[in-house]
Amino acid sequence: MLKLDSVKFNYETQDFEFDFDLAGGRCMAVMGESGSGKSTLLNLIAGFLTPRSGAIYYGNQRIDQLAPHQRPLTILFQEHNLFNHLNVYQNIGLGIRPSLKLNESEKQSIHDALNKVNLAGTENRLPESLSGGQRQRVAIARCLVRSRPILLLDEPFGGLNEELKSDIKVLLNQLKKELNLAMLWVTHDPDDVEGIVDEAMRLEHGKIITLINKCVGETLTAPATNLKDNPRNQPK
Amino acid sequence: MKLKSLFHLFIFTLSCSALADENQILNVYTYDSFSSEWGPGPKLKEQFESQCQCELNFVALDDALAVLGRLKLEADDTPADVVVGLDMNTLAVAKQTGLFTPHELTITDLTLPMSWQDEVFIPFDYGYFAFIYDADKLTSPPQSFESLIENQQNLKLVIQDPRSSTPGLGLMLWIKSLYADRAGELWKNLSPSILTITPGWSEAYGLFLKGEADMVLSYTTSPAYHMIVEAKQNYKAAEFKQGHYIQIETAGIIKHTKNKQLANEFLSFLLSKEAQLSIATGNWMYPAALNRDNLPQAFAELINPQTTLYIDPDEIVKYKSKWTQEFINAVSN
Amino acid sequence: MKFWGWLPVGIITSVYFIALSGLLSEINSNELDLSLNHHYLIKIIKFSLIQAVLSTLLSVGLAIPVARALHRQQFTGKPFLLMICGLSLVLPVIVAILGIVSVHGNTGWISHLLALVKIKANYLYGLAGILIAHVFFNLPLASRIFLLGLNTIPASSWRLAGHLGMNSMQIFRFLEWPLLRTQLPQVAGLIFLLCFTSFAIVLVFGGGLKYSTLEVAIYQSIRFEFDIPRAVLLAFIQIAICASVFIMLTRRSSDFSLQNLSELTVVRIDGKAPKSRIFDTFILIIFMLWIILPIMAIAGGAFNLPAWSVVNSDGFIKAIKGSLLISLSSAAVASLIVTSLCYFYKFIGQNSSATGLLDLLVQLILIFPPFVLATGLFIILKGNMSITGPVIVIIVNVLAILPFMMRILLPAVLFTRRYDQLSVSLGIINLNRFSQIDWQIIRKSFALAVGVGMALSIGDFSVIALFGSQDFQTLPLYLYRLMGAYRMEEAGVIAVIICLLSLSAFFISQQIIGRNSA
Repeated sequence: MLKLDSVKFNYETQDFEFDFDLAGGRCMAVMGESGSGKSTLLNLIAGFLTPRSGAIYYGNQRIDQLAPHQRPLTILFQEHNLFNHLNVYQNIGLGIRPSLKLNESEKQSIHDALNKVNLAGTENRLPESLSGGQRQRVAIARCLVRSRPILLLDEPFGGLNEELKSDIKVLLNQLKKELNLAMLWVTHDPDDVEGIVDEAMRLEHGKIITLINKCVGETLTAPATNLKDNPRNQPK
Repeated sequence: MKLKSLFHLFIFTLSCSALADENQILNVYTYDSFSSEWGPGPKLKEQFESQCQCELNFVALDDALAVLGRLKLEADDTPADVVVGLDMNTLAVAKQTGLFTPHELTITDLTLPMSWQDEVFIPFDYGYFAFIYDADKLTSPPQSFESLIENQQNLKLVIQDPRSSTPGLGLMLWIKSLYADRAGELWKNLSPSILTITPGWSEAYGLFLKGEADMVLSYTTSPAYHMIVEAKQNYKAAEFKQGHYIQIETAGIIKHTKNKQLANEFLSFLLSKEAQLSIATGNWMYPAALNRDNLPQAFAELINPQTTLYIDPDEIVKYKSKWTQEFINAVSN
Repeated sequence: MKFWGWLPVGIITSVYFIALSGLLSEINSNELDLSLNHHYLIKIIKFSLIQAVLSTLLSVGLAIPVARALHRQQFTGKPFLLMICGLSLVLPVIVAILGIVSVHGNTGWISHLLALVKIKANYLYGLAGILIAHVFFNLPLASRIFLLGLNTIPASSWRLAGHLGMNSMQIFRFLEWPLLRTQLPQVAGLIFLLCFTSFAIVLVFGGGLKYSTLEVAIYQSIRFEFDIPRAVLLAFIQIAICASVFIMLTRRSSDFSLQNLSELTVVRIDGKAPKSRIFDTFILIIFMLWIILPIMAIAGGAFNLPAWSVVNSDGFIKAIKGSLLISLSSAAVASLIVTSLCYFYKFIGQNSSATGLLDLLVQLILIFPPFVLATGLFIILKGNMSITGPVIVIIVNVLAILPFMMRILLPAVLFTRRYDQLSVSLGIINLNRFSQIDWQIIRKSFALAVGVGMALSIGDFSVIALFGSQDFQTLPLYLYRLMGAYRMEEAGVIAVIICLLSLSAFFISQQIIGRNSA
């Protein structure tokens, strides 16, 4: 379980404060205007920013003092998820070991991951020869081989069409269940997360103003729309 | 791997230039036409090394004045042991640097046209500045600076920069010695005849030989080179009735030399008969310690200036920069 | 990270600091006598300005019709002409001088032609020669920049111009001139700076004393008279003038690069008019001859087989050793410095005033007379010139090639920013980060930078003129000497060798460093 315990941060005149938790196997949507603190939240969890006070836990382990790559999480960025000069195999392999010195089982895991995202056989191709959707699936394959329990997604559908979006969403949903991932998904469009999201929060001026805990069920359509339409909802 | 080989190449080039010999080395600073393959340098090196158990290392710069500049820059750290080629006109400036030490020679039979008393520098050759022309192209050469000026439509001169070249300085002093206060005016009138002012003698002489100019400032003795080496009789020195300025070239020892003994030996060698002959037929000047009878016949056919002009070195030190400025202002219009 | 960034900044700053303190120490011991050379000083400043202004006016003025002609005419030799254009930009100055002498000299091609009609041509030495050489270098430069500008005029404008039936004059007035005018101050300023600080060209064509610029006067003050106070005075005047031009330039900065010369996709109707055709053809033929003749003269030097014996001479051996020493070590040192500088730049990238200072520090050498810098260093370092000489030549060379190398490498290093978060999140840090990610991205640019640095060093003819002797010389100095001695055939061979060496430095560095790993 990911837990943010009154994590505070400030940048210029803006104060940020986050306090919530997210269990494994669940997906939380993070929404809000640009500048509301979505990226700041992600960066705090990922370790690109250091909180002024408060703590971040994974289970009982405090993780906010760890270097970004030591944290039990993996990130799917909006773009530049892949190194353009490296082939698919290397891009995934780097997720296992930054020196790319892999043993046999690790090599096999790369092929397995590619199978899982339906990209078997693309090992030697360069990212530029893949479509946008394929590139994101390679990035997901890397998330797989990293087998970290938390997955942070930062607008992962940027520039993809509807069909590709739903393909990838099916894949992510499947992984969420299989691997019991805690997913934190930043998006501006509630439709993106439809059918996969379990919980949602809305940020404004660096604070969580709406937090919806939907304990069961498959969809969150109504509340998501709600979030979009009524930004002035009070915190729970 | 590749970086390594680059590195080796680098070290290789470094070591090539810095490699030192075990032998005792005498570093001699001089001007390039002295040490070049067609100058007296290589022969002198061979002759001296056969008797000294040492290595004679010429460090050559464009001109004796550049040598002086380098000495001023390096000052006490100069690796030079001996400096060859500073002329009478630059001696006083050279002494002001405080870098030279008196020689230990006793000089007796000099053949200079004037007396020589100097504890620091020994003269090794001399000559007279003169304009050289090609007799095949120029039938009635000018015989004075005035006639040079009158003929400025047809006569293009190459001269040297008095700041960087001893002949250039010589010409400036030549004109000063003749015209005194009117020198600036003469330069102004001469200016249209000047094709270009080169930094050194070699450039000027090269330009002339290529036919780019009608006359070049050099020495009365220069035609001897063409007669002896090239068997050409057409290059001649124009004789000026007003007289010719003398240049006496000297050698001196650097104060900080670690090879003082060897340096003195080299100076004494320079005055030996064999060296004096090599200098006369390599540097194309009159020897300073050898009768002209010993020289090839060609030397006898050269013009022999009736009047020898020179200015006292102390005077030169005092006024050199003023005169140089006067010259620059006159010709840089 | 911080340390490795501050290190080169510290090194560069201390080089300038050491040089300045050396110079100032000399000035204290000598009185500066201004009254004596007042007259001469004014003359030099005046001539420096006049020749630079004339060179700029000629280059820029001629570049406009050339760029127009190149833009509106399509012909088979166009890519070739553009290539030759680019070639003239990278030609070492001293090599180009030889080419110009062979064409325009008193015994050159043009004077041979004129001799047929009994005209004695004698124009190369003096102001004319300086202008010819400056225009040779800067006309192609200005033309290329203007052509790039013209290429940015959108196709719709051309269609509209055709639709409205604009003639050539109107097109110039309403379409081309407004665009060229925005480029003009930059281009003119750049060319003015290049010509104002020009050294080798003025040294060779200035006829010694008659025409001297500040840069040459500085060199002569140091080399001939060892007059440090005057050299420093001249240097400060030059820096002051350059700096004010430089500041004016950066104020209205709009960056243009010389790359990506895109092909024109629209055919301009005004180029088809017979009048324009004739005019453009005339302009382009003159332009082509102007550039190609000296280059042909240089290339022709290779076919003078007997003159190749010069490679056996002692002087040549020393010169090529010197050139290799200087260029290899300069490029090696500069590539280390430039790499850490670029990373430092990336590191402080958010802070624009800091990056501005860094830019200034790197580009200072463009207006700082190298001779003064070198002399200041020598006064402090002292010692045997045959050892400190090469060291100082290398130091000054490193500074001189840094701005060019940085311009090539910096965009690549900044490009790696996009992988910063991803790399950190994957734990690809330190050496892994550099070898797996950054090096792969920057190696092509790095190779290019090293190649350019090496090629520039091989062709450099500045400080070496001050420190060179018979024993320590480089190929450009040797070439200068041979030209001075009027041994043009041998000089021609050396020129070819310099070009070949520069080219191979360029290609070898791409091969060794820039090649993709399998």
